[in-house]
Amino acid sequence: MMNDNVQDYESARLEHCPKCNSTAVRNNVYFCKGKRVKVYVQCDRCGEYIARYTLTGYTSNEPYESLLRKLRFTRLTSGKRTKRIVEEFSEGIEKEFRHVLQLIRTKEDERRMEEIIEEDYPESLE
Amino acid sequence: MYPLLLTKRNIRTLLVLAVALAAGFAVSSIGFPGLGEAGRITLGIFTVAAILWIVEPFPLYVTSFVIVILEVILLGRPDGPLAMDGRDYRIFLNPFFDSVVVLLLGGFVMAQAVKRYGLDERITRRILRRVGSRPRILLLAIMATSAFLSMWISNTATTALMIAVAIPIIRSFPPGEPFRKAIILGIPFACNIGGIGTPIGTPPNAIALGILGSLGRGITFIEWMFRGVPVVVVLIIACWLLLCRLFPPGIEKVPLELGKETRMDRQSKFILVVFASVVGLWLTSKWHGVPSLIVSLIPLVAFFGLRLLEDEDLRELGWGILFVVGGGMSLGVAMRESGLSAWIVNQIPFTGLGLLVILFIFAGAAAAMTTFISNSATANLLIPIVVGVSAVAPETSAVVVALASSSAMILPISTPPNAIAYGSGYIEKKDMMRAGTVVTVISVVFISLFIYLLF
Repeated sequence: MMNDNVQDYESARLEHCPKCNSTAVRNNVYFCKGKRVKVYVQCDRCGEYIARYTLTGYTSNEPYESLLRKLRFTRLTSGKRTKRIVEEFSEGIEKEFRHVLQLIRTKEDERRMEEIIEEDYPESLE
Repeated sequence: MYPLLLTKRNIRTLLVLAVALAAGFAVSSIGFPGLGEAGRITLGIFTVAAILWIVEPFPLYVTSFVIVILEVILLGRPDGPLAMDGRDYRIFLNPFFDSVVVLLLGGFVMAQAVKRYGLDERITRRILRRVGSRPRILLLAIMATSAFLSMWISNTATTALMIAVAIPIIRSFPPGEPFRKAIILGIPFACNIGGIGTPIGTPPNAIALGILGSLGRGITFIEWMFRGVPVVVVLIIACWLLLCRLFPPGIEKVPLELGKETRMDRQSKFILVVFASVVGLWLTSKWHGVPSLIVSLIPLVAFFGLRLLEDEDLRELGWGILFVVGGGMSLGVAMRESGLSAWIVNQIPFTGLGLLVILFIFAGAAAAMTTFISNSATANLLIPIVVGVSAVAPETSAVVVALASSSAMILPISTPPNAIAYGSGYIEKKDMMRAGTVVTVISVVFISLFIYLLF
């Protein structure tokens, strides 16, 4: 453990443009019926392509409605587990969002985004 | 790097597992008269399964694998109490790819395609556009649509869809309007009830079919629907009347904003054609002779072969539920082979009781259990026992327990649809308990009577 709040198995990193190093980005979201939603991240300063993310989950600022969307593609057999998922969902997002902001402020991962993903999360590579 | 293993939650999980194994060992050590070694060991495994499925220290499908491990190690070894040779232990593994599991898999693939292309939402909006704005009729339409969809798509998915459609409608109601409770309660209740209608509607149906099939008493898709659909129709109407009475509408018109209908694309049309063809073949299997198992593979080949579904969809198919069903059937095999089912049945004083009373007892027990634990776990624990009761045909007892396992809807934890609706914040627990208790009692009485009188 790093400190009381930050675990040694987690990190956070702001998206940077590989060309101009800007952190101002635009999310261009691509929708195609029957396919996964894809987000093409573009530098807001120089317009360069930065990265593409493929969506497996989406949560808006109305978490219950987002959860309903998510549950449409989930099969659950246990009422107890479902109740726990519903209760933890809204609370969990807000809490994790604050936690990520704190991580960026205090312990931002120094590696480049692709290094983090290649080294620690290779299953996310496309 | 991954999260630490020894979290508080995992320590609790290991403790519950240890307690369950210790309890199973203790039970199997008791010398019950008339129960052989194999039966005692199976009773121990049954105890472990019951504790794990009730307490749920981990997902239900993990318990299925614990059961199989215990069965193969304790019962399936060559020098074990069932005197199996090196390969006979496969009887405990075969249920995981039983024809009923493949039937469910085919249903899951079709449901995934329907959801992926938004056909469920399209059907729902098309129906609601045509029902007008009278609150009571709108509620009936919402409940009927929920019940119809949940015959084919998971109850969880249908509830999530219907509540998402209903929320903008009920937001337009004036503050304090009681009818919003009727709508939010009507959706999960209708989804729970709708699952009864087809073999693929909810796991307890498949568990019943699988266990009946292993006894050589299988019933076909259409034979199940002859039992299930009338129950769905009657219970939906009863539930609708109840909700209209408990939460009468204070408004005369509901403003419906459902958007314009768009044209259906080719892929969606193709999915509907395949869906209709597969259901048609399932319903007519008695006449054309192609087993339902083989028919179930058609959507897999069609949708994945033509890339209408992707690898991610395959991962989302609800494998956990298939393993829960497989685990329950595997436990049923062990209970039958070891003589435990017959022994338990002999311990229950059914002599002198009429058939209807026995059916009430079965349905009541299933409803009571499933109020607190998962309906799949209830079916897994009860059906292997009730099919052994000689006073009742296995087809009757298994169907009654399966149907009643879907009919308890008293608490938010009773079923996943209840939990989702409760999470909306539009209803209180007491609302669900008040309406749910009445629906549960009506369901138990009607299911017992209907199956007693007609089958």
